Amino acid sequence: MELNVKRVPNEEPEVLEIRCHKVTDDIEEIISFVKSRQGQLSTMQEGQRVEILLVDIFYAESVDNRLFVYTAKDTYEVRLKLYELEDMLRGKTFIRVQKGMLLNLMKIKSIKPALSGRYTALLKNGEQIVISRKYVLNLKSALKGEETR
Amino acid sequence: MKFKERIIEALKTYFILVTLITVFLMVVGLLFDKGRTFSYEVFLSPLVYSLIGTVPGLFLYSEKEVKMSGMIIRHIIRITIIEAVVMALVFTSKNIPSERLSVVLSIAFGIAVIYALTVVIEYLFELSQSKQMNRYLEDYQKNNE
Repeated sequence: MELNVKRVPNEEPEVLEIRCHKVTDDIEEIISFVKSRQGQLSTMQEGQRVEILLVDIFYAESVDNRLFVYTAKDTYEVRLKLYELEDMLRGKTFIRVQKGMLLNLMKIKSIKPALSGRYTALLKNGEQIVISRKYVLNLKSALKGEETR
Repeated sequence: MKFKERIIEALKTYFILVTLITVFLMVVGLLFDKGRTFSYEVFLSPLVYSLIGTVPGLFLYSEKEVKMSGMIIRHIIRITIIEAVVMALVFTSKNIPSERLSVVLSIAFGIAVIYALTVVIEYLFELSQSKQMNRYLEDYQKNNE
């Protein structure tokens, strides 16, 4: 695929246009990346393109190699790998709390212990998410505003 | 969890066990063998028994994320191993009157109580950690609004 970058004057709007024969998984990934930089995630739901605001996402979970993002009421499948989404959301308010889960720290209501070094995050929608002990230190660092691993 | 973190966790458990086992030995000794005197070597006993209580946890550690039921099964396996090892020591040691059922039962019961207390104490540590995390969380959410 040819890549062109053209500078435009300040008065013109910035546009990113993708010209392709077919919207493949790679194209979907590029779209998701660009959307994530704009605070959105893009996915297809029943043949329709759906934009999900990152601030609305509670958590993202990988189940059987498929990635799902959960908002307060809805669930969307995203055609990305968890590590790709994690990379896209780096520096934002999301952090890995289980091997297959990213959690939005802004959606946690409170944290309580759950035996053997694990913790439970009570979310603002009433759901409970287990924080594996492997990721507890990382979570603490993120909450303190320190750089996470 | 990195090996270093696992060692720190194990050391925490170890020293909780040392304290609880020392108290336990005093209680059992006062109940069943009040007049007995020991040499300085006896101070080693809580250290050795605590090691027995800590080592299975190190080997049974798994990165696998389990549900609460799985966690409970892990605890049951761990306490069964500890009970078995301590009972083996009880029946082979010349210093412990293992022919007295009350002594054996007290030790077995004591191990279960110590194990439960260790879990409770660790939970209390974690509760204090979670309170701290909730304070950090509050600040984090305010700063990122």
